[in-house]
Amino acid sequence: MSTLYLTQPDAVLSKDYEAFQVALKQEDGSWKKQKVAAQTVEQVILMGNPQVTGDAFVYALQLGMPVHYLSSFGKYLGSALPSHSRNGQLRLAQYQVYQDPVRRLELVKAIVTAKIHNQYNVLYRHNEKDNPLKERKSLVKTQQTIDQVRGVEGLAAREYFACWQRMVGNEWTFNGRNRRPPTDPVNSLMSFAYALLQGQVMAAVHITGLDPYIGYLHEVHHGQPAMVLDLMEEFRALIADNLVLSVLNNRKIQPEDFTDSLGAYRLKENAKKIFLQAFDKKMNDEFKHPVFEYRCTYRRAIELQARLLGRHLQEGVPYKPLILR
Amino acid sequence: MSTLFYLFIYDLPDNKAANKRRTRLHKMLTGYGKWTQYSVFECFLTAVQFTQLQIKIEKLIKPDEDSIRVYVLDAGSVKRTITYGSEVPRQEQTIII
Repeated sequence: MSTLYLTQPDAVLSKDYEAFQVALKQEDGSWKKQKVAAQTVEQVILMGNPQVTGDAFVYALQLGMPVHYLSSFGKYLGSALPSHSRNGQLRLAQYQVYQDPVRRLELVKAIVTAKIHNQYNVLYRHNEKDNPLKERKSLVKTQQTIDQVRGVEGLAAREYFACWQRMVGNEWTFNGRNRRPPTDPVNSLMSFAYALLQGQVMAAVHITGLDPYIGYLHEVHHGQPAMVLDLMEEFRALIADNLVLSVLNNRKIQPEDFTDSLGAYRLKENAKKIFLQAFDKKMNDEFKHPVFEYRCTYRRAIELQARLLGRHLQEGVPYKPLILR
Repeated sequence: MSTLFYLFIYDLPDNKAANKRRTRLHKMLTGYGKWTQYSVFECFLTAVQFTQLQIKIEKLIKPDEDSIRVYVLDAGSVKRTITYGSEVPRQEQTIII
């Protein structure tokens, strides 16, 4: 099963019997057409709004493929999702936990603990063993309110990103995490990776039947998919941060791969493809799942975690966020 | 979901009705895999996908005139595949256009 990325704004995705057809406009004005085996595609990710015909769009949904929209900068815009699961019971359970301060705090603590643990592991593997994240992790346990847990999370995040300048090397500058817009290449790469991850988690949340807008760690704001952001926390370091560090350390992406427009950095076309390829490879990496004890990919793990959270909300099975070694 | 490698080879007679079936068959197979040579498709499919395709093919063809052969190969056979003048079959994880 594969992922179809369309990154060219002047591409047209259409349906041709059982297959997709992608037409690319050439410099001489002609169209280069190529076929994609639609039946074996698992999801479609569109960047920089290419054209999709109604036929192709509906066919994607019929085949059970989510279609995700990203801006040409890589910001997550939204998705069209096949109508897999609309689980009313699960949503009621989700709202109940939202109203239940004890269960909610417990979940928030589990999420933040896992996040800090995974951040610590990133630092540890990059020889940044001298950091206070372990203490922050145990500090989470003793907090009494969600706001206090958030405080510890913020503290840990600052300390975590403080180590990044040494890990990315002298070629790059990184003075802490910033966004909207990211003001340096490393931050922009990170935002891109988080946006890609958000698309994956959003799809998993929908497949499970959870309500994406009611979360526990993240406040319920208009237009903020709080549940998606909650579930993302355990994967940020595991998938996105590790990916960014590896493409930088392996010099797959170089400083000259970015263009600067009014203080916002964006990836050049070719580097974007390299990064997408690396992201997808990462999503297909296999590891042994600590709870289920069988080998699975990160892509599958995201869905498993969403389902596990669903089980926790409905049946009280303890929720264990994904923690690797 | 595990996939197997399926090799589709077809031969349809040269008359108007069969030409139509051949074109339809070709378009159908394009949705499932890669067209590598005239009348040859290579597909990596799950059991479900293969069954769906099988049903569609059985509806389309006339067994007393047409001939379609499907070879099912496991990972080991795919690995040992030899090609001259073209790429060895491989399952695409990402399609970036």
